[in-house]
Amino acid sequence: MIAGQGDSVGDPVGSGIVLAVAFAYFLCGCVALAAQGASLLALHAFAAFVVLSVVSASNQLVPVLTGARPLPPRGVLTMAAPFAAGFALLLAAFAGAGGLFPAAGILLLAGAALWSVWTVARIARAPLEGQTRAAVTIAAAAFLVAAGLGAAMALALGGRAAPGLLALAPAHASLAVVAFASTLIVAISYRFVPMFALAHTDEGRWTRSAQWLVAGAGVLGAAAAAWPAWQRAAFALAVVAALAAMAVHLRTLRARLRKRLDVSLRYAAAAWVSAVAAGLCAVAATWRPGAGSSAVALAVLGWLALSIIGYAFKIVGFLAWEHARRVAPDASLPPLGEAVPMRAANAALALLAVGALAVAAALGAAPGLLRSAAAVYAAGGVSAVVILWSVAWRYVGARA
Amino acid sequence: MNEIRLDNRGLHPPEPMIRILTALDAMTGPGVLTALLDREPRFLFPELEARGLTYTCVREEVGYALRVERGA
Repeated sequence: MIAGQGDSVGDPVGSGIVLAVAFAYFLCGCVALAAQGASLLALHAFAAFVVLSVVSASNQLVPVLTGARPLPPRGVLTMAAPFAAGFALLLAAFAGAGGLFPAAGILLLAGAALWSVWTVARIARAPLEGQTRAAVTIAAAAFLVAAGLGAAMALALGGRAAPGLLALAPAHASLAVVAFASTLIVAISYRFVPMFALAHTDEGRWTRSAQWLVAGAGVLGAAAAAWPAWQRAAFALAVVAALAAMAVHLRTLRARLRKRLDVSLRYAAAAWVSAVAAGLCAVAATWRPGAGSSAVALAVLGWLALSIIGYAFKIVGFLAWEHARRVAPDASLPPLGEAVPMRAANAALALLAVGALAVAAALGAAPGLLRSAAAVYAAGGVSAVVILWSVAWRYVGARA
Repeated sequence: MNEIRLDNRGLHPPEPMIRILTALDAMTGPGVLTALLDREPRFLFPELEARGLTYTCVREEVGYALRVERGA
């Protein structure tokens, strides 16, 4: 069997290594959440997980979908290095080494500028997927602005700028969580859901409206951070976007050719419900600010993390399979369709989904239960990472 | 000997994969399927291997050319 015959668009090693670093940050976030409860350290460990997952995935998926050229392994590692180092400094700063805030902010801004410019430059000349390329461009611009606001706040936290800059936090969060990460996941899901379900695609004029709604909601939420009525409109728009995306995906799933629902899509379904709940909590927070923490928990632990982990169940096995096929072209590899142990993956999903919901509920109504809720989530997170590692090792360890 | 030719250019994923797998599953006996595609069908390769099929995929001036062989 000859995979790609030397014409394959990318060597998956670089993306695989970056994804492994992303999951190390995810574990760090789980541990911090269980040990300390809700903290900026835990939140930014999860942010590192999201950002590095995007860097990893975009090097493989954007080229596959759009026809753009991917980076070789060394290139994607270089692109990810400022984020890996910058977030390490940021977490150390939140852990007590406050003098590291300015360096962390500047490093992360430099990384964001490098990644955003490179991403937009290469997809601008790509021949396919105009709507996906437009969504990625908007997300990259939002990411760059979010990193700029983050760097300003890091300078303020490090005593190098006015403390008043910390008021930028809601705008930073809206751009990072909604306009950047959510827009990308919504856009990519229009391809992943039918691919993983093996379903015919019927793309009409309004099919991809959710990606524009969520991008608009993120930008409006950031621009109107000081005006509750406009923020309410932005988060209501995000809820509409989540419902619109869910409606399209449910229609796709009803027409799927694979009878058994793929593990990635089970996680995605839980993520969509979390997205709607997060949006509703964000709307409520414009009247009752206490609900804001619950909204962030549902958005990050539920929507973003479950989407990424779910898709990773498919992508990690696939990248490891591709690597094994390159290293050992004649090796007998286990079928990818049976790579993920379904019972264990479902159990991890139950722990993660219940944990995310419980953390959000505890933050809003029962702070005494927060650590227990966080422990449930962390148990699910550790289980998911162990399963992903075992899936990858089945292929990486294969030899002819 | 079956011979199937597909032009999957202009189709969004996963339509090319569905069309190729459907054609291969309907093929009785040995045969060859060739397909033209806009994108390298990377998610298709493990599916082909799981079916015990041999394949090559080559980048061309515009898109990719896939050739799948089914034995007896």
